[in-house]
Amino acid sequence: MGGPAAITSLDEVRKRKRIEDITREHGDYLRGLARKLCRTQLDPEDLLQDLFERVLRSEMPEGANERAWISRILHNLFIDKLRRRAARPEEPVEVDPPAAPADERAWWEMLTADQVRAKLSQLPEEQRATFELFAFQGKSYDEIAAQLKIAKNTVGTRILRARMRLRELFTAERGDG
Amino acid sequence: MASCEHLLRTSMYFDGELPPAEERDAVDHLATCAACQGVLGDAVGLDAVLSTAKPAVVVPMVSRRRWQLALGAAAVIAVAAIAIVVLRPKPPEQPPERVALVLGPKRSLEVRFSGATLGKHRPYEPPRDRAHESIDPRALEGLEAHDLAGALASSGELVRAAEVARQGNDAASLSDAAAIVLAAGDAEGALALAYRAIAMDPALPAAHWNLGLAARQLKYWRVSREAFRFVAAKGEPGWAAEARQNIALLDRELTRRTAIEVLGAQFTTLIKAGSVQGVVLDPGVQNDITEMARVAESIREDHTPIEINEVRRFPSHALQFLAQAAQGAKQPLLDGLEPVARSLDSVSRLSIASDTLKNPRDPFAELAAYQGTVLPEQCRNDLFAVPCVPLAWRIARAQLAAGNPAEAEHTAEIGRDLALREYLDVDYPLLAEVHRAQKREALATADADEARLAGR
Repeated sequence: MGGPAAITSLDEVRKRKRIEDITREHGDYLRGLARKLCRTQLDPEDLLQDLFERVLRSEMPEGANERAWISRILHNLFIDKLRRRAARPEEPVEVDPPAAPADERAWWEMLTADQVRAKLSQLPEEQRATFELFAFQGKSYDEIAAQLKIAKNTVGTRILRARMRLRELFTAERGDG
Repeated sequence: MASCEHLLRTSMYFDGELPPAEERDAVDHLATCAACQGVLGDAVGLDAVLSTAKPAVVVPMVSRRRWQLALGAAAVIAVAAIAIVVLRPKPPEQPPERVALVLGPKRSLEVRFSGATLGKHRPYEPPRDRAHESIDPRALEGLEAHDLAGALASSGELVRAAEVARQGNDAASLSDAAAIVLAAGDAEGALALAYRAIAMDPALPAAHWNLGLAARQLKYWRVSREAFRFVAAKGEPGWAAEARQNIALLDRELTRRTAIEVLGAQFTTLIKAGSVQGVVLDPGVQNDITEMARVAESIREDHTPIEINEVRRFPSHALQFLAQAAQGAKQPLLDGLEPVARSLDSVSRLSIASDTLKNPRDPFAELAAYQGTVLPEQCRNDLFAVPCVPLAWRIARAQLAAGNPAEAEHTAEIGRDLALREYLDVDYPLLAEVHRAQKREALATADADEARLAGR
C-alpha cells in the first residue's frame, strides 16, 4: 500500500465524480430515454453502461446542450448495438456504412428548448398543434386523435413531418450562418 | 437523405405507439436504414432538447412546491386544516357527472400505491412539461380509498391524498401515506411509514417498494436493495422488472462506495503513518475527498466536526454524530457544533438537532426516563366514550415518552379529531414531536438494517 495506488485511484474518483454529476443532472432523463429506445428489444442497462464509458472518453463541444449531446451519443450507441445484433446471424448481412460517424455533430446538439419552441411557429398549423399536444402535454396518439378528430396514423404522420420540417429549418439556418 | 417507406413506423416506435409485436421488425430495419436512423435521431434530439425546458405553466409547479413545504415541515398542520373543510362539507348544488378513471400509459411518481387500479404497473417516466398527471377530478367520485389516495397524489393533490390515506389504519394505507410523503420530499417520514406498513403486513409489495425508494434517497443502499429484491422475487408483471433495474443501479452504487471506503482506509493509514503532511484538493474531487475523510474519521472513532456539505448529504449520520459529540462535551465544542445543528435542522426541517444540543448530557434518553408511565390501552378506547381532549394529549405524551411513537400518533390523532369537533385547540407541537420520534425510530432501524446487511 502506498502513494501511487491512491493517486491512480484519484483519477478514478474524478471520473466517478463526472458520472455522478451527469447522473444527478440527467440520470432520470437518460434512463427514460434508454428505455424508450430499447423497449422490449435491448437491455437499457447495457446501453447506459456503455454510455458512461463513451461519455468519459469524449469531449463535449463548447456551447453544446449537454443533455442533447449525451443523448446523441446514446442514440449512436443504440444504432451500433442494433447493427451488431443484425450482423450476428450466420450469414453476414450487408450493412450500410454508419449514418453518422460517432463524432459528427447532430443538428440539434447546440439548440436550446427556447429556440425549438420559437421555431415551432414556422410549422404548418396542423403539424404544430399535433406536435405540441404530444411533446408538451404528453398526450398519446389515441388521445390526440380523439381530441382533433383525426385518424391515429394521421397523428403519427403529422408528428413525423413536424420533426423532419424542424430539421430542415434548423439545418438551412445553420447553412446560411 | 434518402427516403424510406418505414419512416412512420420508426417514429412510432420511439413514441411508444407501435404494438410490441411489431417492435422487432422495426429495429431490425432500423439497423440498416440510414433514413430511419435520421428520423430516430430527430426524435431523440428534439425530445432531449425540449426536456430541458422550464415548465410552460408556472402555477401548478408553485402550488406543488407549497405542498412540499407544507407536508415536509408540518404535515399535521396542513392536513388538519384540510380536515376542517372535510368535516363540514358543503353539499354540491347538483350531482357531478360520473366519469371513468382514465390513467396515462406512464406513471408520474416513482412511488407505488396499493389501490387496484393505481397499483397496476405503468412504466415510470417523470412528466416532461408538467408536475403531475392530468386526472379528471370528476372521475375521483366514488373511488375506493386506496385508489383515491393514489389518484389524488398522482394528479399533484398531495395534501388531499394524505388526508385520505390517513383515514385508514391498515398496512396498505400506511404504505400509501409513505408514498405520498415521499412524493412531497420527506424521505425520512416515508421511511418511518413504510417500516410501519411492513410491520403490519410483511408481504405487502407496495410497502417494500416505497421503503426501497425512501432508503435509496437516504443512502441506505443495502436496505433499499433488500426491499427491491423482495419486490423482484414476487414476480409481478412490470414491478419485478423495474425492481431488477433498480437493484442493478444499487449494485453499481455499492461497488462504487466500497471502492471509496477502501481508498479512505488507505488515506487513514497514510495519515497515521505520518507520510502525508497535507493534501492539495482539486475542486473536482473535493466532495469525494470529504467523504473519504469522513470514513477515515469514523475509523479513528473521534468526534472531529463534519462538513456542512456532509450534513446535507447524510442527515441521519450527521444527527447520530451530533448526538455522540454532544454527550459530555464542553461548551466550546458545543458552540462549534451549532452550525451543524442549524444546518441539520434546515435540511430535515426538524428541530431535533437543536434540542439535542440544548440537552447535551442525555440527548436521546429522556424517552427512557418515563418508561412505565404509559396509560393502559383501555384509556385510549375510553376517549371515544368520554371525549376528553386534554386526556388524549396526556396519554399521547406518556406513550411518546415511553418510546412508542406509533401508539402516540394514533392517540394524538384521536385527540386532534376530537379537538376539531369541539372547536378546541390542537396540540400541534405534540403532533410534530410524535412525527419526529417516528422518524428517529425509523432511521435507527435503517441504520441497524444497513449494518446487518453490510456484515452479511
